Amino acid sequence: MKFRLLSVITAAATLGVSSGCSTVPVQSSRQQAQALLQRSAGTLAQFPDNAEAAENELRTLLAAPLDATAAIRVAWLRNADAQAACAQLGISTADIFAASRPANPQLGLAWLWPSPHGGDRKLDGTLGFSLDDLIRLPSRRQYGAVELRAAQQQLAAKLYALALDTLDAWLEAAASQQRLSVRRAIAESAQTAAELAEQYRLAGNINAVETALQAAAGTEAALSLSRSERDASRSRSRLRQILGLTATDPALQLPTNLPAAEALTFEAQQLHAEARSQRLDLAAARSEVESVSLRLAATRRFRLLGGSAVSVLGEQEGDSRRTGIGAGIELPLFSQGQSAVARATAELQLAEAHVRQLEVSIDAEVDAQLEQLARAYDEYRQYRERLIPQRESIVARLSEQANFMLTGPFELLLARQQSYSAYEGAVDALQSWWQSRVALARALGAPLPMPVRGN
Amino acid sequence: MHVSRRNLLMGAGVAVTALPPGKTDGAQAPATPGTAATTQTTPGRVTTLNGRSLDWRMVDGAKEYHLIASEFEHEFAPGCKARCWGYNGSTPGPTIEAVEGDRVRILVTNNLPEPTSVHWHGILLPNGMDGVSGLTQPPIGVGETWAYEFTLRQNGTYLYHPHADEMTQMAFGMMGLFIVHPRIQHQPVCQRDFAFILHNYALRPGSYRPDPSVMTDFDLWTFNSKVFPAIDMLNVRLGERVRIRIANLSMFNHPIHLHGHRFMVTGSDGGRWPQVSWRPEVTEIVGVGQTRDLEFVADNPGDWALHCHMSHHTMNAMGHGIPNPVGVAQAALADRLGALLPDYQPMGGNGMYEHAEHASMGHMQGPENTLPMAMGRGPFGPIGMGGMMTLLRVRPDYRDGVDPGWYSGDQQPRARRITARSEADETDHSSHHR
Ligand SMILES: [Cu+2]
Repeated sequence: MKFRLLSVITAAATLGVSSGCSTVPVQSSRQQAQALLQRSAGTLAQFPDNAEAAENELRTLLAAPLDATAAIRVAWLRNADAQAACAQLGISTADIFAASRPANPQLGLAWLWPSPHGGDRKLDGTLGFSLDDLIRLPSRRQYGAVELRAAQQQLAAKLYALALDTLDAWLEAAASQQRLSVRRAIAESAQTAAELAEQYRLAGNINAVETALQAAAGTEAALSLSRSERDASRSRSRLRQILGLTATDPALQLPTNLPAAEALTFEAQQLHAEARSQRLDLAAARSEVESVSLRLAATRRFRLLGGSAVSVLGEQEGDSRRTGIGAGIELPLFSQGQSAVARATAELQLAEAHVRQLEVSIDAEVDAQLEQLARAYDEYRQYRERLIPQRESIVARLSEQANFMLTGPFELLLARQQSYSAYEGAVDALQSWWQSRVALARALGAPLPMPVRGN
Repeated sequence: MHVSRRNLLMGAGVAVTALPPGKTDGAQAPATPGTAATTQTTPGRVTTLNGRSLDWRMVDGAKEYHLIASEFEHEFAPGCKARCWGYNGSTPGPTIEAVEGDRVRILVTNNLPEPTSVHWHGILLPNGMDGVSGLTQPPIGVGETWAYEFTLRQNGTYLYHPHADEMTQMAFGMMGLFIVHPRIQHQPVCQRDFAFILHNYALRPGSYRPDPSVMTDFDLWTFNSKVFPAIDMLNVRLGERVRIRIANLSMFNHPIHLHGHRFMVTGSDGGRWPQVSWRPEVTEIVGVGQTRDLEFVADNPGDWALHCHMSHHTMNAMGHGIPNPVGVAQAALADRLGALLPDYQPMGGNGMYEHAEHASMGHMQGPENTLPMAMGRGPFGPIGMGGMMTLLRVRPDYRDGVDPGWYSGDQQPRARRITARSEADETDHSSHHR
């Protein structure tokens, strides 16, 4: 026992010296999180070394029409939540690092002056080590490493989610802009009809009601255009917000068309399995279960240890000097660590419940988004292959009729507006398809779907 | 020529009348006014515009004719066809010609999808031969052949048409002329004897079957189920006496007007009128269900319009109730309309002439299977008509079977411009188109 205690002290002293100047590994922790993110985001998740490089990149990205990839880069570089999440990993890393260190030894000194009634001056010195801290250190380091991994996974998951949120906002903004151009065309058609009606009226060929009907339709189209402009503006500012742009940043330019949808076939069973192996938040939750169960094991193992400490004592009184050692141990009379074990057990149950809840929601979300994706694609195809050609052919056939004086120009302009509405429907379906694609990626934790090609 | 051997063998004593009429099939009508009824009419025979007469043979002392009712594709003019009903593959069906006193037997085969019957309009006959389905006979069932037989006790211009589901069957084109010649030719003798039926079709633009439900708003107004410029022209030699027999099975009365001549109305489906009842006219209203015989001497050389005088009947399908474009300044909006509707050609701001001009040049894309409302091109530009319109072409040197072309009239005065040529008129109308 004596030998063992000494060796512990020596070990503690050595540890204290050897790690006295080591730094908290925040940077490397962040790099590990970045490596995790790269699994789903590839080289997109490589970040510049310094703030100046980041600002340069931002300026370049914002100078051109912002495609989806660029939007994600901007969000990662600028979004305050992303920066907060990185900082949070720093805090976690520091906490875990601190927990993996032995507690510093306690040096106690005491001077006793001689009293007027006699006696010598007395000097007492104590160097005390917390013994259970030293004993628990290896297991604390073990679950600390797992906790660190969980924190890195959480950061990667947060950045991944931010990328998907950015995609959603980008799709909304780009689609709103496209809808806006369709509404503009509809308004142009309706206003042309209204002005043409004015000319018919001036020529004396139609009555006040017919003129007013065209004028009212023109005004309604203008109002509808205004609503679209509001929508586009709102979705743009939401995108700016998620990108982390401020008023001093340049105005956003967006591509004129959403990229085309493509036929995708998936095997639901396989996707469920993929999701369980890919989801970063699920990985983080599992790491949490692992670290909590390690902590529970340690709590159980050392439940009787309590607050034990050893100390080296020195005493000088007059000319006599003495040294000795002391030890203190917590007697497990009233508490044998049951509450600590119970708490750790509950924490494990909580972590396990979180994993199960994630697994259930992943399966449900994957199935739901597969259905959404298939339907949105079908709608998109029906717009492209059926409704748009049908509406266009109505315009073409009505034009022929109008050329032969079989139909008037107002009916023709109305048909033109209906054909534009079909394009608007196609934009809606395409946006739904992309958003389902993003939601499916979110459910799978899959590589980011990158709508980079315009159509 | 369809001189069947049987006709020659059978036709003892009827050789002259058995000669078939000239071939007048206008199958390939050009964009300019149509082919001509080219052959001089044999006295006692008619020239059916764009048609022919029905062959017969003597069987048991009667002239036996055979009408076969069926559906087929009919062309109103190049660029416009429809599924029509008629007899022996045509609308109108072939003209039945006979001589007063003849006993005729007419076999009718029904290849239509529904029952039919044939009524002999204006013919005096026993009640049981009158062909009113349900009244004087049961209907002729699908696939059946029935016989009508009677003796002709009159002469004149008559008709045949169904009297079963008339609304549908006549709307689809079932009708024909029934000409009964006098035993002794009427005097003065006509060298030309033309015949046609007025009719109307509701063939909606872009569709391929007439709509029988339409009562007034028709799309095509026809002479013998053809529209200008696909209707045969009436070609005659200067000085010839001409008879034009006109029957009306449409839903409107039509004032038929001839340019350049004054004709006598000499008969109707009541038969030939006594000469004291003849009256000179240049326009004769042919009422619904009536026939009229017009006679005149073609004494005025030239190209003369022969047409219904209701202006909407001398044009093809047009939208009624579309906003009137005349007087509308569309130019201000032309660019915007062009951007929105690249296939649309706004016109009509100054009237419809512009439309006729473009249509006659084929510059304008209209709906499928649809004729421009105004078409045809003459030597001086667009004629801009359609429907019930053709030409009487009178030439001193007309030879049967040879297209006389446009009337040059070099020795004749012609209206002339006496002011400077209008700057706005960019088209060159001086060249003679053929
Ligand atoms: Cu008329």
